[in-house]
Amino acid sequence: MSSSVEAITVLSSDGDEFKITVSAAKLSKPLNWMLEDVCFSDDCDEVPTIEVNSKTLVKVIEYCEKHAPRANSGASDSDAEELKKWDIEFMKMDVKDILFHILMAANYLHMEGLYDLACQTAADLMKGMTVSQIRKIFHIKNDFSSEEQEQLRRQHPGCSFD
Amino acid sequence: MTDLPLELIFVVLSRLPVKSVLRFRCTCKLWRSLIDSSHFISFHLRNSLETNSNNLLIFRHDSDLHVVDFDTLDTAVEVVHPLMCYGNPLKVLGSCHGLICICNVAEDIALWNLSTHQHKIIALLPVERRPESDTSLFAARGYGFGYDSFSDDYKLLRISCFVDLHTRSFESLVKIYSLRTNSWKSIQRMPYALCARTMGVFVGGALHWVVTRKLELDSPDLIIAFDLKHENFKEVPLPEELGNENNFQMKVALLGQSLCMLANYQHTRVDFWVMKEYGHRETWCNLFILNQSPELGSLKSVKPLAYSRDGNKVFLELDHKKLYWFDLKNKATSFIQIPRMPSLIDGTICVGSLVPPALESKIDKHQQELEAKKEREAFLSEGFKLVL
Repeated sequence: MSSSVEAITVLSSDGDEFKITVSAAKLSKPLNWMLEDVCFSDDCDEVPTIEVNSKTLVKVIEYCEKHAPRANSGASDSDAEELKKWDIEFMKMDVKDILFHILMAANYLHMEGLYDLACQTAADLMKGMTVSQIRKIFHIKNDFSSEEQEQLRRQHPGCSFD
Repeated sequence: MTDLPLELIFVVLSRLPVKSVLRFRCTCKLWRSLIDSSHFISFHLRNSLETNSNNLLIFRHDSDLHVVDFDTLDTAVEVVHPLMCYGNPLKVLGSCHGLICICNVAEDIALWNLSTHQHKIIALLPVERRPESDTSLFAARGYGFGYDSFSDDYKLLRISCFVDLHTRSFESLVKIYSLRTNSWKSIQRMPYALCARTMGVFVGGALHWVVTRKLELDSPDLIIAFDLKHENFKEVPLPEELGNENNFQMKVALLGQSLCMLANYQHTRVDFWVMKEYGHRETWCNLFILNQSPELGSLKSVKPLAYSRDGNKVFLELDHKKLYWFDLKNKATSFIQIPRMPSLIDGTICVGSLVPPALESKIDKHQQELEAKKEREAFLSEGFKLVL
């Protein structure tokens, strides 16, 4: 790879082009491998596709660009505090609509920090939900027989099966 | 609009508090079998231990137990435990991986998971009596409960220490219970006498007590470790910095995942030593010093319970009735009041887990894993595809 390259271009699964700086791309292992490979050399015209939709990829790149300076140089305590606050703001999003997509993208792109953050955010959102709310979000059908429901009701008083 | 793959559902569920996980068992059959699997139970436990979350604070008051969610410290709730107490105090013998070992006046012992309400009564063990009990005898019993990862077994140790006050001699008999075999056996005698009837502290695969070699006033106290894998005793070297100093009272405790040694100097000052890396003497470090003050009063009985989630504070119990945070950065103490907390407390920290008070045989486990795998594959083939 030529050392003059500072940003790379990738395609989302919807076919849109995105630019991501090299230092930010290094937060993802697969992107890092691509960087080390020939994918982004000057004489290569082909733009690699990332199997993540545009809406999600925008957020993933936003996260990478924010976290890249710290990941590359280390940071003071106050920076870490600031970043933590930024993460909380960043994660204020709809579970179904985007959070699950980000979680899958972080998993696919091997981004440990984002994966951890998305998992914890999802868990924090889910912990107070009722069973019916969970079924709705995960498109789950209640497949318990009436006897099993009776048994579960005894084990977990106050659970609804609607 | 996409559904989350099962692998990721598994990971997200493992980060939930026990209460939520148990509720979500009612979602569907697949989730129920996922949550009930031993793989999930151990993954959930490991996650709670690693992130210092899901901790429960248990207070014993006479025959009752009260529980507080340590992450929120909101309200103390009385919980119904499985032992009859007949108006006598209940004893907490130890806790490990969410299992609490409790004992009543009749010496019935129960292994109990207070999150799942499952319990098991342990086979009764008659209390030893020394045959030649004509001289002035005094007996102390100490218990300890822990996990042996080598044989994947939970073990309860009982040390019965008989002291002859005339001849200043003693004898310490040791019995060990294994959950896997559901039986007790005698093991080698312990060449030390227990200094207090405290519960054994489980750290690094071993149980720890403060003991003495000789019943003489100038005989120094030491820490003994009972290795649950090899089932033998060994001495734990004290911090080098202490030298031959023995003008303090020694106590052991669990703090975070580390062995903590408290050196109490005449109830006016307590040094908290922590062995950062278990088994490495050079990693003992003086974490902080607590000094007597008008607010705290005399430091007669001090017990560290846990670190705060960010690790910057230590939760302390004083005189079995007061709770404080000690801030490691600015060295300040702050008093904590928990609504509906009993007046006299005997606090223990315990991780909330799904671990059952029973061990499945290895064959059952293999069978269960095969079935879980089949079920998962069937589910995935139904139209779930991981985008890669």
